[in-house]
Amino acid sequence: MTAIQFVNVSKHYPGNPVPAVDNISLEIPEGSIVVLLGPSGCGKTTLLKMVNRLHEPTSGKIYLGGVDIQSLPINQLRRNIGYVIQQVGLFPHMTIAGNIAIVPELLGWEKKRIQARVDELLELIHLPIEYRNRYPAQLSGGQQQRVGLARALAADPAVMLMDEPFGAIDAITRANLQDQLLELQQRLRKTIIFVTHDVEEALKLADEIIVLDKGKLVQKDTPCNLLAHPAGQFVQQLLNTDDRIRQLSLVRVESVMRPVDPNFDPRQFPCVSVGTNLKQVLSLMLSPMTDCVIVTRNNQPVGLVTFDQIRKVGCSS
Amino acid sequence: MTYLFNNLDYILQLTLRHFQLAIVPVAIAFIIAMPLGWLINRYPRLSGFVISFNNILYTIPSIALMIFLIPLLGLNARSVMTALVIYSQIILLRNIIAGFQAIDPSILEASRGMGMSPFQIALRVQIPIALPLILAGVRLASVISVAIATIGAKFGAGGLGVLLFEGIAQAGRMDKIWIGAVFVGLLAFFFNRGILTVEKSISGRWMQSRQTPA
Repeated sequence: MTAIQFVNVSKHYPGNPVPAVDNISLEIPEGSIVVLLGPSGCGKTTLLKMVNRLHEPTSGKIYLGGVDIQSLPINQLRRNIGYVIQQVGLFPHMTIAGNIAIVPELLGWEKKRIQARVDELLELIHLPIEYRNRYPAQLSGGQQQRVGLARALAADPAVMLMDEPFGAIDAITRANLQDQLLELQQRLRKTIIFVTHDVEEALKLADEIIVLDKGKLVQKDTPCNLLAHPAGQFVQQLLNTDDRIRQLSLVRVESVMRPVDPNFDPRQFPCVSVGTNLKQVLSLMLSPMTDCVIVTRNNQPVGLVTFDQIRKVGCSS
Repeated sequence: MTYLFNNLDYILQLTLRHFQLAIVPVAIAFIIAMPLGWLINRYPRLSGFVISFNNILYTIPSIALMIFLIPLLGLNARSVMTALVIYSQIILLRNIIAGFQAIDPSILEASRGMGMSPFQIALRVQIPIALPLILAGVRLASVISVAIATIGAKFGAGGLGVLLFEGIAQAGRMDKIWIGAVFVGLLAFFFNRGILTVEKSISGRWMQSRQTPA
């Protein structure tokens, strides 16, 4: 099911010979995180903002769930799309609860329903309920952005637009927030368009990455395929595709493990649980030095991985 | 002092008249300046013309402005109050624009992206955030208005200026001058205090909360 469709979308700014967005057509499947990746000025933010019409395309059409976004009243369109920006933009004069409740209020929900929804969202973003009545200035940057996320999710939109949302946050908190986003996505299955220039972030979060350069679509593929089969030098250099070790971080151990003999004594080898990626397994093999690692599920050994197997791994999805 | 006690009614009447003379123009100027300020903030290309025009008006001495208006509006309170509207409007416009411009643009971007109409954004976001600066402008304009309104007495508008000018004309009536001046000062002081109180209560917890991180 296609959630969002771009058909020959272009954006020209007057006085600029190079278009900001150059004839882009693509489809974004429902329930996936699609990352727009590229250097500054590649058009990724412009493309994103055309979905909620903060920018209007100079040509081409955009369809949301099959509906031409030009045919909807603009505010109705925006109230049904979650929008998260880098600087967060929380309203300083409203409480956290007030901030989160904005779109539901605009949509006319009753108070009780809004209250319940605010509590539900606070729990979802792991903030204590007492924070309802705090003001944004009293929260840290990471907490503020979590509230920004909750605010965007409040009316339960199917589509979320996120414009470098973690760019202004310190690296440690950023990793946390990325994990929380992935966790949320497991539960909520939203269609998310995520803009970033951070390659690691893109590889970590994306179901599909769309690489843009100077307004043009360069390649659209899964992180694995992009690394394994980059379409040209630009992608190669952007993603540093020669870094085999990084490719390992995209492969989960259960996809290469061999079955383990039940009589095997697992205690002599280090163990990892399912879900661990091969880069972490390799790290374990280097210290302490071992050729073999056991894979466990619920503390029961279910497979094993050898160093030779890892060496043979290409990035396959 | 005896003058004060003997003529308290008269003095209070003049004070009330002065109050009227000062506050009505500020209110009118406010009603004009708010939408104008909002428009200028939204369409910056307007600002050049309007603000320069305003600045020129501000350099004209108050008496001159009132005299200039006499042939148009008559030798009465109307000229005085119109001049006061113009003066108040200059001060208010400055503060209103400053208030709106102090708002972080990311807040406005977020409100647009969420689907708030320009009216909703003005009412629920811009005005509440800009309010402290706007109220400070109202306070300033009011106090200046009280001062300039004193001159109005020369144009037959009434107010405490009457006492001042009488006192000056009647050589030796220092008591009238004193009473007039003191009451003008008191009026200005109470305007200031009053609006300051409103400022404090409206600003609310969110401004104070900025000093207390969680």
